[in-house]
Amino acid sequence: MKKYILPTLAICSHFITTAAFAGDRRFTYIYETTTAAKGEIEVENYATWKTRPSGYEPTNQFDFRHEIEYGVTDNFQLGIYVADWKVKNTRPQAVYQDTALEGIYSLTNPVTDLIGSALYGEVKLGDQKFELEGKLLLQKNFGPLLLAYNAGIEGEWEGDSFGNYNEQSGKFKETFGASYQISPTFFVGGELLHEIGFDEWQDANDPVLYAGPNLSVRFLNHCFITTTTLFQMSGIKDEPDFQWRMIFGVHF
Amino acid sequence: MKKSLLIGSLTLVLLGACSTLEKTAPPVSPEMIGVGQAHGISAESLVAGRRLLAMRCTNCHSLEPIEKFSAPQWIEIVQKMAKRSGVSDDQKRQITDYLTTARSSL
Repeated sequence: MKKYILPTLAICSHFITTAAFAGDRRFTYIYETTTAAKGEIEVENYATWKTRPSGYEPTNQFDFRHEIEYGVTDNFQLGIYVADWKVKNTRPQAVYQDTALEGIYSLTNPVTDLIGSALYGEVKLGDQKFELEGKLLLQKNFGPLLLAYNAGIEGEWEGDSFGNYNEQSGKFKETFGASYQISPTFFVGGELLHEIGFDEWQDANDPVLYAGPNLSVRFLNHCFITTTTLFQMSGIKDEPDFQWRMIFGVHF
Repeated sequence: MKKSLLIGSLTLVLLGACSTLEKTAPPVSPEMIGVGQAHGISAESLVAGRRLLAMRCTNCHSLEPIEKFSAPQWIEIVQKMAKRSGVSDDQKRQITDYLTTARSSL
């Protein structure tokens, strides 16, 4: 059964991609406080490469995500991660990870209000894990310059099978980004990612810090690509030294 | 010392943001309402148009100063941009009404 899931999802996402609107994102690790217009459908396809060339077990991992977003109202947006899947050097075949539902409720506007804000919630369900995430999103636009900050808590429960979870962990995650509009079709900036994991919700792991540049381009009046390269600044051996993420969107 | 520097920097940044907003999406003033009413545009429509401009247009790009384009140019720009922003015909009209009225009020 599983061997049919990925090809089916790939075919579905292709057709969805060619028939929907997409929001133009300036960041890949950071959410902005603005949401899709009421009734608007957006599709985003993610690819993330994480690598740790040195250390005890060198790894190369590719994560993929296909997301559909829908503007329920002008201030509330729902998103479905149709599929998260990955390919790793230690296990080269594609492995389905999970499916998720996310909601973003925009509270204030980053242009007309003192500061833009939104609430983010996510429920993720996989074969062997269950995840909950909540975040506060903040943003302020200063003409061509956009600053954004996200902070949130993530809880993860893992086990051998669905509902049979025997491991739990938490994570505090915050991200900060700046993006400058060079022209209406070209944006450059940087992103900062800071995480602290909590095994069994008790022991805090060493904080992990990533930083790096990003850029976003819009082309053909239908497409956008946003990409970020992050380098680990904290020297934690168990975490990837380098991450690269690209989000590709198409709309008509 | 550091705290004063931080507060000072934040104040400057916020003042800069207010100054930018004054040029790109000026608040609906009594003068603007008067200009709008002369063209059959209600105050509510102007407020809604400004809100939509800030919500929908900035999803893709920063706002340009109102004075940069003439009223007919704004109509043409909104017509072109509305196709990719997901706004309805009513919303498009409200954005156009706000921009052209704000331009005429300068």
